Amino acid sequence: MREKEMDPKLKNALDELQSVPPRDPDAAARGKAHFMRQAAVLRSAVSRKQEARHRGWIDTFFPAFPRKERNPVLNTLIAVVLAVTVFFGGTGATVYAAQESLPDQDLYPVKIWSEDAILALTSSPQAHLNYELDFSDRRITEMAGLIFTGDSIPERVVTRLQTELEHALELAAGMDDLQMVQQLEQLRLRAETQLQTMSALMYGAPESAQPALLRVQARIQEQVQLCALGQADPQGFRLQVQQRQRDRGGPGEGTPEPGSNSQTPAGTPMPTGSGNGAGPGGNQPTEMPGQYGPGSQSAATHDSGNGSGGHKP
Amino acid sequence: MMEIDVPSDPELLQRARIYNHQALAQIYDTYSPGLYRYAMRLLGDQNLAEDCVADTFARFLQVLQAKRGPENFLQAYLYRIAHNWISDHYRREPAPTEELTEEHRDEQAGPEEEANRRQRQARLQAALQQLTPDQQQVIVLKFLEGWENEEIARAIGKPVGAVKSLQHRGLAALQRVLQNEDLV
Repeated sequence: MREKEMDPKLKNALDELQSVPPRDPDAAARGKAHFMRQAAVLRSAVSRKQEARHRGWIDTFFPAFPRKERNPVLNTLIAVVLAVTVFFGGTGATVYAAQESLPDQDLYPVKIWSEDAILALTSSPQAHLNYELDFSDRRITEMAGLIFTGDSIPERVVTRLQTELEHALELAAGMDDLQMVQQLEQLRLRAETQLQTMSALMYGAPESAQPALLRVQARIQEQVQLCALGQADPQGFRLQVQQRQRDRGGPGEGTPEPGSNSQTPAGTPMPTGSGNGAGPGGNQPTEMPGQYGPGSQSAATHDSGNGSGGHKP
Repeated sequence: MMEIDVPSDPELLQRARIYNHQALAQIYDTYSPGLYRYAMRLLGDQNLAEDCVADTFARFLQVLQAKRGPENFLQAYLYRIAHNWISDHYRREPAPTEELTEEHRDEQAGPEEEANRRQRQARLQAALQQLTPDQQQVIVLKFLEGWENEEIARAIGKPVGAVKSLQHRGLAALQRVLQNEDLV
């Protein structure tokens, strides 16, 4: 039946259905914010998983999935981390399961511990830098997950992210000019992607989370600027990094040397229940996140006790 | 008639697959108003309509995550998701068959003319909900949203011939219901 053949009364009835009450603008904004947050979580997860696949992250804690290309260094990491895990009465499956945990979940300390363990066992500055970037993506994914559930963002997550970004800069500064410029390009691109995610997260985030998000956004913006500086003026960048280390109470003496942030495992990393994981080397306060290398410190705050050895993965 | 001119769907979808912020925002801004209106016409409830829109876009993200989803004709794809949502809703909660009760009339009390208009519209909506989900979708998209048969066919995943048939039967069924309700 074509419209012109339609009973006029029927047509009038359909015309009356044309008008629809206007959509509640607040409901519309909430709907969009919810959608953008979901997308931001997915984007962060994809970014992290892509990097993980590239470096064999999945294999790190789940060697049951064999990969054709095996990095001998990663194989060693796998063996050591799992050996430590089993030594403390845990299972590799627990450590693996912890990788998706959020800061308000029981397995989060295991996740942090495993990150510290990996960093402690990584001697290559290049690999160390890549891990720092990967972990910074994880922090953003965690923030997205917390916002998604309407929670605020713990200070320790923000601090850890800031430390990871800072360490990435320091590691780059320790490389020769050519390598440094290349790495800074990667850092800058990663930071720009992270900024996109942060913009999405700001949409309709709980008010309690906004101060933390704004700080993180500002820090990542700074990261982009510092990377650009480094690409244009390598020596000027190194001086900046040096000054930043001094400001944070780090060594800051002399230009960072190549390999100055490499890790030598001086002892077995101890898992803790503090939520902030273990420092490397076993002789650092276990509740201090992001302590890498002699003298470097993170401005970490921690929520509870100093559970040395109090938690088993 | 397509409601809004938008950039090439394939290009937009390509960017959406990598969760590009701007592309996804554009998709939401472009299609959510129409989806909301569509859902409101079929559901008659603002909260349900918002739920429908939210779940439609959530499902869209799910298919992107699963590396599936459309290569083109994004609007039709989204409306198909919404249509399935509405059909599922009516399977769980069949549409009301009674006329508006006195209680409902009181809740909508206001200026008399406006109240009468809203009451009549609610009854028309209830009449529309007596049709099958496919008939409803064709009627709404054709006569209320102004889509062409080809676009409707893509949205409901049926041939154009089936769309015409649904249109014919849907209008006939609607007319019967409206006559029974003294609305025409």
